[in-house]
Amino acid sequence: MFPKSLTGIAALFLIAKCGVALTPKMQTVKDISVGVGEQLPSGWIGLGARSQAMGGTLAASTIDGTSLFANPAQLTSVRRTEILGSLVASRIRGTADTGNPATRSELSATGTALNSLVVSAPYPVYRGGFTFALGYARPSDYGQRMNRTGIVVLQGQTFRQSDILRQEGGLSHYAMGFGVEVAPTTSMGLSLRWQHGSVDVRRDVTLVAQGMALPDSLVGRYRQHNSIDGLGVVLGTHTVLPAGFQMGLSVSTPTRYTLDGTWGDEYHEAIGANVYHYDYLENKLKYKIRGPWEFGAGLTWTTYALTLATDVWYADWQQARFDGSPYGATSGIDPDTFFETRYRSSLRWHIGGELLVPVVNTYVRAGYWTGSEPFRGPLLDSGEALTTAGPSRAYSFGAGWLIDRVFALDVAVVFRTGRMETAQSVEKTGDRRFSVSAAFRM
Amino acid sequence: MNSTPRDRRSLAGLLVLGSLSLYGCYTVLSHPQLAPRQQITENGTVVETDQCASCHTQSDLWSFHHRGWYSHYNSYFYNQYDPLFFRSRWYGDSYFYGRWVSYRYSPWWYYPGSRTGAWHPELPAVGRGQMRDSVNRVDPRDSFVGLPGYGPGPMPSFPRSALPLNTGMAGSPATSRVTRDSTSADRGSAAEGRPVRIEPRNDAPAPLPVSQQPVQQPAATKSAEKPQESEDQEQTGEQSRGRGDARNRPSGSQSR
Repeated sequence: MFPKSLTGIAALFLIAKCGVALTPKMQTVKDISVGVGEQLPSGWIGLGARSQAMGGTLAASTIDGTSLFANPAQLTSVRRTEILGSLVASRIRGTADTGNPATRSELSATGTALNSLVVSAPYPVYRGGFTFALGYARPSDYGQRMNRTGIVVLQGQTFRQSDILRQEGGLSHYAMGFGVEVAPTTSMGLSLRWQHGSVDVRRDVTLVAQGMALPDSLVGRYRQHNSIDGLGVVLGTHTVLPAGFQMGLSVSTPTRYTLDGTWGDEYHEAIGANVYHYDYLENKLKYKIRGPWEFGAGLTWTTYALTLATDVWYADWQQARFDGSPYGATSGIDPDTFFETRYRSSLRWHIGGELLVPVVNTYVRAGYWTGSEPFRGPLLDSGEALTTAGPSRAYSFGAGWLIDRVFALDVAVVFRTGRMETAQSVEKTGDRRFSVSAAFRM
Repeated sequence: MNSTPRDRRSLAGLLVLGSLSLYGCYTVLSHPQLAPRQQITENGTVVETDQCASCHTQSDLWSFHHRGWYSHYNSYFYNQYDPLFFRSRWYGDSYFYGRWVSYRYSPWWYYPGSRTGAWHPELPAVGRGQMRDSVNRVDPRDSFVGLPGYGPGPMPSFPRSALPLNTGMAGSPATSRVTRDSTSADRGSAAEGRPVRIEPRNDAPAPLPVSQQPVQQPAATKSAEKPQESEDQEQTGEQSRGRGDARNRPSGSQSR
């Protein structure tokens, strides 16, 4: 497929998610995916400024309409008709140390998106609590920027590389549900959640062979667009325990995602005195994935002005399955073991707190969370991962005010970092997000 | 969205399971009908309380609200001062209570509590855009603000008197005494011989359930403990300003 001198380029390009045609030297690099796994659950950012400021805790500490998406049982804590909206302004930055000697490159971008919009309506009750809610949220996004520029050695050949990745998109959650008190200290909730969104991936690669009078080169671009739909149910319970503790449990049933997308690449090779051009060839894909169960548990302790909360969220993505594999019989990819070998369980820990400062009547908040992404990346035949992704970590701070007893304003800033190593490059992400939530209770 | 029969079966199963789990749950959307001829007098006094006791308990005469800082085991109502910050009044207007509790915990179908501890409609002069909880206000710092989550909830299906029901259980509030209405009997009214409840003074707020009594009672609340003179007033038709206002309004008119 590729000239021998450019097998390394081809290999790199394949790692860039192309995936089907493999050069003879890269037969050991099996079944580079088209990015299925990377496009579903990554980029968690949280819901609402209050929760984000408290380290993303949601399972037992939510007191507003955002609980519709995480633990609808907590909707019963909303006692007045509430309209809540959140906006997130983000600055994402990717830094890559590539090559030998390592060269550091950086790429950043900014964006603004609606994070949540929820209407909660408590039904008047004689005893207990019963609250409906309907809303939209975008708890995760796919924003990523990375620029890998430097001298790399591929298949024994030295190249100067410029590899720029841009990823945009998000998965919006539309949900409706309710929470009801089933005992003086216990409530239950259920919400039906429809996810809809899309992701666009652009990757532009330039490789120029070094040490040649007329250097071989490749200029290529890769494009991918996926539309994603998913349907699932969230069940939750919330219990008031003695001594100021509260406990929340949440279970999300396996979401059935339908992916409808296109991908293709176009490249331009210069080999010796010859130039070859390959037109853009678009491929279509449509398939389904049944995601895993997701479990969340939280504990909150409240005393006077202080609230401390912690959450843990778990999903075993090795249990995910294709329902209509995107890979043909000739691809060499076994869809039955795809998720077993390329995915892992993901675990997120959250901890946070808020303190009401007297006199100025301001809540100050801080938190921290860490979590691992489920996608391990492509594997060698030996089972060795080409990519080693470290856990994401985030620190958050925020404040909240109540204005005229009916209007609450919360702000948060979240600093998130991540690290991933692939071959000779070390990639670091550093995101900074500002969130503002405004809630009006009638 | 394409959904398979398996999807639909799963969804239906969840809905059935959810419905079953809610059957007989704690939340009561409306108060059960009571047969007036058998169980209450014309002025709303409950005389047969067996059915009430099947739902109500001594500590749970009213709606119990689901909130983190209050439970049967740990009531911060009894703690007037926050030890974390210079013994600031936690329930003072400048700290938490008056400002945040109304926002977070007071249901919209309740009237906000007044500073005297009674439940009545918010004063017309205190509306949006006006100073209500400003830290610069002088008077509210040591005044008592109505407790959240304490109130009648949606209207029962008939007018009832203002005070907590006498459930017939040991330790029931003494404010719900049942006695003979000699005044009515003297007049030969239709209520002759029927027991009626002695009401407190109309200008006195209703006492709180025992489990929710604040430590520091306001002056107005203390006045409710004075000898009652309401036996002569209960037939006058005078509208009370206390919690009874809300409870005696026609059904469906309780919203703000």
